[in-house]
Parts: sequence; C-alpha cells; structure tokens
Amino acid sequence: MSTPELLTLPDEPTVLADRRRAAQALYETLPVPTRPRTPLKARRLEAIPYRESAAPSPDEVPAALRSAPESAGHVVLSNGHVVSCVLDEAARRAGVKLLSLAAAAQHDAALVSQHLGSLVATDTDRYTAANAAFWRDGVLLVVPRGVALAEAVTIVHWVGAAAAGIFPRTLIVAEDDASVAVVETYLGDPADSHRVLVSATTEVVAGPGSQVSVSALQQLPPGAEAFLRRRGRARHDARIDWATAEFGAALSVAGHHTELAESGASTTSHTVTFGSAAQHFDYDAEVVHIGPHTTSDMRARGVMSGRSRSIFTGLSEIRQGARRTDARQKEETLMLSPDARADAIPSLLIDDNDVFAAHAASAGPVDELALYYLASRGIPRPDAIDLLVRGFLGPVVERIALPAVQDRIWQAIEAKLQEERGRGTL
Amino acid sequence: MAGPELAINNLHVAVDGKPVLKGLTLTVRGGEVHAVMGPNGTGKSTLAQTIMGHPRYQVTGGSITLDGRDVLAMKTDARARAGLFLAMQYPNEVSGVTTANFLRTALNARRDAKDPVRLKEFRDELDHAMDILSIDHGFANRYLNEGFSGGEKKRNEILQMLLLKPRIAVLDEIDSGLDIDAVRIVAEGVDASRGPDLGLLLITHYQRILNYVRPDRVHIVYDGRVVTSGGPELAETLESRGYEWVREELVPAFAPEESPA
Repeated sequence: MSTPELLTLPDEPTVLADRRRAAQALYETLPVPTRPRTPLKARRLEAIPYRESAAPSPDEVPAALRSAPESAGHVVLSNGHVVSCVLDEAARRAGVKLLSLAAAAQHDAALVSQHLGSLVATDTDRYTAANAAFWRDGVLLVVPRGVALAEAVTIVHWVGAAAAGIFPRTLIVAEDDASVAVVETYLGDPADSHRVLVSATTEVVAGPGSQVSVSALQQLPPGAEAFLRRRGRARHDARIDWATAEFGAALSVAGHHTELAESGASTTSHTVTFGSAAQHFDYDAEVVHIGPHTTSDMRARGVMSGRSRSIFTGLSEIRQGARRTDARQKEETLMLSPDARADAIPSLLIDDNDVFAAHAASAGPVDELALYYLASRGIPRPDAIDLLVRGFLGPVVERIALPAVQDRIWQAIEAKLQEERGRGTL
Repeated sequence: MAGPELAINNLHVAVDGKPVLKGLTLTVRGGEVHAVMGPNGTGKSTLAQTIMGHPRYQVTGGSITLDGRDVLAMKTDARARAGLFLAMQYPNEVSGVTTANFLRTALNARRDAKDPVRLKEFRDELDHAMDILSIDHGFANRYLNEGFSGGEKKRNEILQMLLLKPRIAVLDEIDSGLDIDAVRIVAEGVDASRGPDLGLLLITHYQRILNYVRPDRVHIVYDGRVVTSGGPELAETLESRGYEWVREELVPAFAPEESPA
C-alpha cells in the first residue's frame, strides 16, 4: 500500500494542521476496531476507497432540504462540505456564530482549537481517528452567554452518489446560561446503495447554566457504513438533552456520551431505532456522573424486523464524589421477526454510595393476544402490527421536547413501516 | 338487506386437545336477543371465542355460518368485517394505542382505503356513543384499556360495539365484576343498539343483566351443549332454583350424542 498524502486545508492554522498530522499518524497505526457483537472485519470497510475526497454536489440535495424557514439557522453539507449556511438575522445580532468549520478554523483559530477534539478522543478507534485526520468541513455554532434561541438550528448532512468517505464535524459551544436546540440529519437517496463510509463527530460544550438539545436522525442510504460519535460535557447546572434516531445505513456504530462534570448538571436521552432487512446497529449510550447532584435519564426503544440486528449498550457511571446523583436507564425492543436479534446491555458502574441508580432492559415479540383483540375488531394483521409498532415507539418519541423532531421521527417510522409492508413482512 | 342470521350447528370444540363444546346448536337472527346461561366451565366463553376465531380453540366438528357464509373459513379480522363482534370478558390492554386511534383504524378497515372516515364525523359519533355510556370524553385519548378499571373496560367494549355497528354481537360476561349501577349503564348501551339489523348473544352467569336487556330466548348450557331453551321465564326459574336444578333435573334427561370420530 502506498503511503497516502497528508491532507491539508489551505490556510489551516499550524495548531490544527499539527493535530491533523498526529491524527493521521494515529489512524495509520490503529487496526479495524474489535467490537464484541459487531464483526467489523467481515464488513471489509477497507475495500471502500473512503480516503478519496468527493467534491460537493449541492444539486443532489433535494430542494426541500436546502432551506428551513422555521429554523434559527440552517446549514447544508454535501459530501462533507458546507454548501450553504444561513443564520437568522436576530440570532446574528445577538452574537450567535454559525459558520463553516473550515472557515472558522481560519478566522477563529483560538476558539476552534480550544474546543475541537476536546471531547471526542482521536484515539477512540480507527474511524474516529480518520474523522480527525480527513475532515474537510463541518459546523461551528457558538451561542453567547445568556442568549436563548427560540428556534432550532438545523444541519443536513447529505451523502451524494459519488462519495466514498465523508468526515464531517460539528462543534457546539453554549456559553453560560445560553440555550439552543440543534437538529442534525444524516441522509441520502434511499435508492442509492453504493458503499460509503460516514464518520461524523459532534461535540457539545455546555457552559454553566446552559441548556443544549441535540437531535440526530440517522437516515443514511442503504449502502452507508456509519460511525457517529457524539459527546457532550455539561458544567454546573447545565443540561444536555439528546434525541437520537437510527433508521438508515447498512451498519451504524453510533452513540452519545455525556459527562456531567459539575454539580447540578443533568442529561436526558431518547433513542428510537427501527431495523429492517440486514441492518446492523451498534449503539452506545453513556453517561458519566462526576459532579454531585447530577441526574441522568436514558430511554431507548427499538423495533427490529427481518434479519436486522441491534446492540444497545447503556452505561451509567457514577464516580466517587458524585454523591446524591440519580441515574436511570431503560431499553426495550419489539421483535417483529424471529430472525431479528437484539441485545440490550444496561450497566451501572458505581463508585459512590449515596446515589440512586436503576436500569432495565427487555425484548419480546409482538403480543399475539393483542393482535387477536385488534383482529376481532376487523383490523387486518399488517395494520394491527403497524398500530402496535407506533404504540410501542410513541411513548419515547412523545417525550422528545421538539415537536418538529417528533414529526420527523414519525415520518421516518412511517417510511420504515411502508418499506416493511412492501416486503410483506408485517 | 335481509336481517342477519348466525347459525351454529352441532359445534364441537377442543381446547388443548380436550373437548369442551360437544355438539352445540343455536341460531340468532336480527332483532333477537338470546341469553346463554350456565355454570362456570361449561363452555360459554369457548363458544364466544370460537365464534370470533381465537387461535387457541380448535373446531373439531360442526359449523358456524353468518347469512349462509362459512364463518370458520374466515380469519378473525374478516369475521369482524363480515359483521361479527365479540365483547370480551377480559379485553387486552394495548399500550401506546389510543382508544380513538384504534377505533378509527377499525372503522377504516371496513371502508375503501380511498374513503377513510372523516375526522369530524368520527369525533361526533364517538362523543355521542360515549355520552350514552356515561364515559368521559377524555377517555378517547387514553391508551386502549391500559389502567382501565373493570367497569371502564366493559363500557369500552360496548362503546366499540356502538361504533362498529356489528350485525351479530356476542357479549361475553359483560356484566361480571360490575356493580349494579355499572350493569345498568352497560345494559342501557346494549339496549340502545337493539334493532332489526342486530342479533345479540348475551353470555352470562347471572340473571341480573336480563332485567335490563330482556331476552327473547334463554338457553342453558351444560357440559358443552344446550340442555334446555325457553323464554325469559327460564332465566327467572334458574335464578330462583339455581344451577343445582340444571344438574339434577335437566342433565339426566338429556341424551348425550356420540362424540364425533
């Protein structure tokens, strides 16, 4: 194998260029990761020419995704490059920054180098290192002290037909008492089944008293092999709310990790998964309680059909000194097919004794007696399963605070159910 | 359309290989109310579940027809769309599915996909039916039967009957576990649906609901068969003399037929 050239961006500040070089060196040494229930080697990810850079192809992005009139700001990335970035005038006047990360790296090198990579460690695994080495663009959002954005900032990551590797990065900085909601969507043409590696990173720096909501909807095209790393750090009394949905891609190794660094910090997370055909999801939801009086509540519900496979690993870690913390997690899976498989692995790591912690996990098939009851009212089996699936996912979807995100998740569920009907699997 | 007719002829049913119904014959027509009474464990609920097609009950002989159509050849959902309804003794709780959404789906299953029920029309009809049954309108947004009291579940079954407008309805112990006021409300709901286009089969252990919904015919079931039939006075005799009377006086006189091969 020839030694590939180092990637450098024009005018990249030295500090970032050095980091990129280090990340690339690390990438060269890291093997394909070993995950206990996800045989990554067998997927032959290295056969994908993911290091070849794809130019942006904004024309591929459906018109409906190019603007978001209800948003405080809207960024569209095509093949990992920002192709449009719009910020609401009122937000701009309030001092909010919404920029292409590549541009911000030049103009705001100090801020970017302070936070970029401060949460997601480059050595997490080979594909996270690849992201740190090969990223070309991404999004920087800074919400200044005390500023609360009423509308969400929306980010669309579009995977085009020519892309082999996409490595976007998102950096969200909420200063003291700021409040913001960010909605990231990862998508492409559902009819496009070419193989593409997507390794994306989102970092959330939540200052004291701030509130950050991050939603991530993964609806990548069927040939995508995705690694989505999200990490947040909440300082004193800050709050991070995650809403994540896994619907697309052939493989998705994803997760969110929250560090409750100082007293009074809190986090919630809601994860909805719908697997079909041979999709494989491997999700880690982790929270680390460091400060006292910190709380976490993580809930996940998944529906698995066909020969799909999901692994959901929940970890609530309570460090010594995090007294009076409250950590809860619950994972439930509805199995639509005997050939699908779901593993829910909740765990608690507790190093302080003045805490409350609880975890629960369950998986089971569709209730045949409930189906009989619905049938006795004239509802055909596919419609009855449809109702039960919505009924199962609903309680988690409806706990998500943003109605627009709820709507999008319902639309995604609807699309999955249509797909299942088309296959005759309901 | 001629009034409905449900004909059950020499029905034999087994549960887990054990015979429960042993040649039961009964015909219910539109405009009629039939009461099926009998001690516990004689096959009353088996009859109800077999009419609807519960997978646990195997028909080993005999027939059930609705207006001459073979009910046993239909799946449960097709039976319901053909006009059969079963108010269950123990309705399932269905988490996450609201009563309103469930009912709308059930109504739409009976209609052309291009012509779903209009929301306003549906809401009005639902509100009206809830008023008849003294059900709070907020109920429509609660998950189906989840956390409902026994009485609420029974009323919800009748609510479904009022909306779905079946041609033959089987009410399985709709009065059990209810106090007298609840029995009255449920019975009024049942009574409100009576008419030439509906045949009712009331399965009950007690006579008290029959004070509100007067039956045309009363059948006493014992050991998987109808051992005697009569007018409403039969229910009163049963009430005063008890099931011991059935065992002592009716069963010995009843010549059991041979089990099917």
